[in-house]
Amino acid sequence: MSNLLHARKIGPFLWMAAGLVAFVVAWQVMSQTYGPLLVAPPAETWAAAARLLNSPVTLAALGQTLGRVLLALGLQIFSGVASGVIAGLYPWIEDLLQPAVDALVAVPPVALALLVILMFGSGDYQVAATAVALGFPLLYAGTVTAVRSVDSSMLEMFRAFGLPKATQLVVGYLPATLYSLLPSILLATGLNVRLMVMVEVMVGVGSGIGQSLSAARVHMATAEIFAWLLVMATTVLMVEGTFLYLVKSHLLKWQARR
Amino acid sequence: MRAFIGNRIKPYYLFGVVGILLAWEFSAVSMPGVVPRLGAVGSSLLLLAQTGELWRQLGVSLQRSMAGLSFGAALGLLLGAVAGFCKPVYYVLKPLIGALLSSPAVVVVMLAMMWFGVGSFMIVFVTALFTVPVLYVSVVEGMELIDAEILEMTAVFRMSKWTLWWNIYLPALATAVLTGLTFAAGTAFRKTVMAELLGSNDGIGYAMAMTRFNLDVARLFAWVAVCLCVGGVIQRAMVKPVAGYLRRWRHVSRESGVVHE
Repeated sequence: MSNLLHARKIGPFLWMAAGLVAFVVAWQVMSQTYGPLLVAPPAETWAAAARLLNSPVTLAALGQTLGRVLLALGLQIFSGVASGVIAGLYPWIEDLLQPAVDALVAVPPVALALLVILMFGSGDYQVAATAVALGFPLLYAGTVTAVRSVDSSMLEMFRAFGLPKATQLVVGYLPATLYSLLPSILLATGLNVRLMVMVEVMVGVGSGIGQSLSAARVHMATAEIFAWLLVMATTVLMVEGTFLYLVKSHLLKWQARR
Repeated sequence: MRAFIGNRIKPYYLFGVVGILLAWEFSAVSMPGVVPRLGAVGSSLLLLAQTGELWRQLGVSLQRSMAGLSFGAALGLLLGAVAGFCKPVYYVLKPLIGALLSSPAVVVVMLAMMWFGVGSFMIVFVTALFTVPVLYVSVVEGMELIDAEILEMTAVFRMSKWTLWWNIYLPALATAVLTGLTFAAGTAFRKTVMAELLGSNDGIGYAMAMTRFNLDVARLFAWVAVCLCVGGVIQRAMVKPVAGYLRRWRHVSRESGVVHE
């Protein structure tokens, strides 16, 4: 029995490793067929990634982009929770805000980036504002859902004891909302990394991953583009993995307490 | 329940639209030369429609996104169904799908332009590539929802393979494909526009890129309005009804369909 349990835990990892190996082999074959200029070989990509992570210039670029991602995420959480709590409590406000949210979801992100460039020029604020606007609907929608799913018996108790609205908000709604918002924040982090790189490439600021990518493209440095893809994928996976682990362990604790 | 209410036009939604237009006009008046007036955008749109430019570029973009959507959806459905039935395949594909989901679309467009040059093929390729994971994830999740107990029951009652397929797998697959397709349709259109913007000489994305060179903000807004209409049609005609229909028996979060890039 314990053997079976063990196999069950190890199995997926073995298959995933097999998938990864197959992926790398296929990649190698592609690069040999089409040449290193079109498809950089895995080894070269690996070396380029190591170079990127050892050079202070590119590390600074990575740091700048991640810093912007964190800033955008913070602003999205703040604005999303603030408006989402209000919209969750008052359905008519949700209806009122819905057109703006619909527009932000339906607009192609590149088009929004282009609009910002044409109207306000390029720069740090423009990059941050575009990313915040594009990621906002996710946090907003998550908050509305979270507020609506707050335990109704708890709310009844609040009402029975005649707690003021402000206290209800701080003691009841906010903790529950933030808690069930964790998956949305997780989704938003990965989304923000991709959005930020797109906006950096489009808006053309003088720093960050987007700028390094544009430079690599101009120099036809395929290995470097591949290496950035690798670095970004790893970063996103690591951030999401850590987050998921934290959420899961906390969720288990929380459920055990109940 | 919400879905039924959602199909009626809500008064506050209209107030919201009016509010946005008023705020726009106000900022246009207070920032002349930066934000175009509503009237200017309207006349740009009218001009595009009258010259036929609008319908031509819209047709090109829609064709490309439909082509990308069909290829990508077919592949995603196939992979998802196989992965749903056979767990090892799911894990083998996991790194690949993970890589696809975490790659910024601009970078993929850059590479695709190096591989295939500028043009329709590159655009359809990129669109299809980003549609695959949407369908894949949807189908895999749909298959996971099939209750193990129900499968056990069918074994106990010795139902035929045919009954099993017809009554259990097919409905689960059909709803999963329907959800996946609705969300993928919006994704496909946005990806097409992005790829066109970076490397094409026709389509809505190209037309948008041109406004950058001509510094014609009003025309850019007109094109954005066209994109919003397409997105709105997809959202109202497909996503909302399907989500409402599905919500009757399983939880569909409000966030689905909001994630995009």
